[in-house]
Amino acid sequence: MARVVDPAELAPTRYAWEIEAEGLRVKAGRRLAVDGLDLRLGTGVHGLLGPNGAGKTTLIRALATVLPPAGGKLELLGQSIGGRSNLRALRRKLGYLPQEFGYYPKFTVREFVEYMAWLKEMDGSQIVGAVQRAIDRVGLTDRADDRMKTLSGGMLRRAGIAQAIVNDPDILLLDEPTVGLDPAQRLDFRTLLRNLGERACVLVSTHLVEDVAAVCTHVVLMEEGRMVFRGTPDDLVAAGGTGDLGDSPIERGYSALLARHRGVTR
Amino acid sequence: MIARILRTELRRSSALAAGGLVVVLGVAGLYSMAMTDQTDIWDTEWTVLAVFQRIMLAVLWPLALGAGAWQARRDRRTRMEELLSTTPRPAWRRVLPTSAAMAICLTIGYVALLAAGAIRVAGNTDYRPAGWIPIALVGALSLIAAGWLGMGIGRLVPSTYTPPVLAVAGFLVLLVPVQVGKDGPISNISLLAPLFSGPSDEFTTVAGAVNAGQAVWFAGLALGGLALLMVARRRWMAVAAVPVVAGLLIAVPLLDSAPEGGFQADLVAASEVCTADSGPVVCVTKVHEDGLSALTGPARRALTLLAKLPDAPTSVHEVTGSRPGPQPAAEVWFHSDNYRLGHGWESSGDELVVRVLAGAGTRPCPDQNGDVDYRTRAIVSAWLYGQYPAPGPKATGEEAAARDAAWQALRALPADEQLRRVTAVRQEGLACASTGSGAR
Repeated sequence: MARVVDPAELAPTRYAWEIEAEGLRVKAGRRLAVDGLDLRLGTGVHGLLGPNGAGKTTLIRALATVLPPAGGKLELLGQSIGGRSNLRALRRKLGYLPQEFGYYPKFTVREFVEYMAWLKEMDGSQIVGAVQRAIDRVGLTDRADDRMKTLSGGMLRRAGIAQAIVNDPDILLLDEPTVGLDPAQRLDFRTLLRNLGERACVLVSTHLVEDVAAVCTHVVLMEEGRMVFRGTPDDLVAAGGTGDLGDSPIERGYSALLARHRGVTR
Repeated sequence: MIARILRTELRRSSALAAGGLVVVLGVAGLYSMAMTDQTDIWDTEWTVLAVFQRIMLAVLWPLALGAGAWQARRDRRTRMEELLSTTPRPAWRRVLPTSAAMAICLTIGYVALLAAGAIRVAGNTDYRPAGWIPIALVGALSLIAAGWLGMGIGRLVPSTYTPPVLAVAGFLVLLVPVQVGKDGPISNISLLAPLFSGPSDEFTTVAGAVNAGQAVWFAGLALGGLALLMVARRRWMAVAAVPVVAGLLIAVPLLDSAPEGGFQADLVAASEVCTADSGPVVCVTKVHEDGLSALTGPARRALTLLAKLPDAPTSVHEVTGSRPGPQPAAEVWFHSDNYRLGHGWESSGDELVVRVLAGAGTRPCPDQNGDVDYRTRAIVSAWLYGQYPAPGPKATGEEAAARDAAWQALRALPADEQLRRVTAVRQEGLACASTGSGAR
């Protein structure tokens, strides 16, 4: 069957930033976990840093269209989110790995990624090839036909990344993707991220500051629902001094920025 | 692509386990009867099997209900809801492969169970009626309705307790008509349950109106379950009531129009199959056609022995208890209860001759109290056969003594009086309206 080409696909890009937020507020339950966040993210790999409870996961869930904004402006791929907007076309271009990644344990990796590709309304004739590519890219080729429940924690994470990238998303949201990966896998993962960042807007939430230093083109530092810092990893390193906490320059920069922000707000 | 997803769901979802459980529990139910040699409650004939399988729905239907609810909880159980909520494909499309897999597996399970029973039935009868097919189809449809309804309710109430509570509650609800039915006739509304309250025999079948009514009702129930599963917003879930209520409104008058209990006489099964040679005509019912050759010889010998009576009969007809009388004088009526499906006539040779002669070739006829005078029937049979005791099962105890006395009394009479008494027994039997059951 010939694929129906959505006119939107052929139209030139009409947005400056893949992700654009102004004064964004998002609730996690009753609490305002993201409170007045301004953010502009384009193509590249963006590291999202911040202490626990800073609102990183809530922000990512809002960007993944799980949570509706409680206020402010949020535009994804030029489409305004909130109210009664139809998210269907946008969601086809999203990839998302939740922090708590659920999966069907009886499915094989291939079946699971295939199922997600179907749910992302990919062209049926492309799915089989795209699934194989996604599985290859995360290094699960030899486990592709094993059940999900037989995978180790690191492998599950990689299967989660495979489902997130299967549709070649324009916005890829990864919430703590490196949890459970061993050092060699993390190196592979960094390579994968670099490749993905060449054409998509990738936002990676993590606690591992070294990952950010290694692959991210930009760093966003959050604290208490607000953006504290935005710049390159080098800017982050530059913010730290010898007196700051941390074992590496970038860790010292991270601590310094947080300490400075806390000093200002308190 | 949807075919590929369906294949995955068939292999990986709990639909497979649900279908498997239907087969395992069902076959265990069928063949546990073999331990007490009671498989003839279902293995004699196709309609009997189809109806018995429906009775087994008392267990299988709640099981499908619970399995559906279990399946519906999958996304919550596996914490997939968040990821799924970010995908563009609408929820109603997403549930299609899952619900189709459930329907397919339950149907295959039901058919496999039927096939397991069919192995024995096929060896027991050559009679191939078509009436069992709608009974089985409605049964399979009811199982799909249970699966989908379970899935719908499971989505509505996605609690861990929903599947077990639903299964137990379904079982209890299905038992209500069975229990009420034990105390006396109940309204045909009870036929909204997929099971029948009693087994059928080879001369009864489910009334067409009941099949139609149940089909509409279960289709409505299935669509209602599917609607619960498919509607995007909870406040729209009330639309699920539309097909259910519509099914109910169509089904109730149909069920009400059917005979009590939903069964009606199977006129095809009771139709006659007769000898085609030049000898006296011997006929059996269509469903007992296998027994015609075994009956022909003894029946004709019985006709010869009956020739000593005035206005003697010239043909033998196997008849059911529900065949309306009076019996024509030219015919011998032989009750269908003398035949056991899968085994043949209760006896053969001389003993079968004696059975045909019972009551001088009439059906057992109950009096106002429902009692049948088997003693007189046996004495008359022995008199016509010319030997006492006649070949065949013997009475014991007091009954034996009473029969001996009755025989002596009859033989003590003058010959023409003996003939007159025997003829009178036949006349009385001919006048019998209809009998219900009871052999000899």
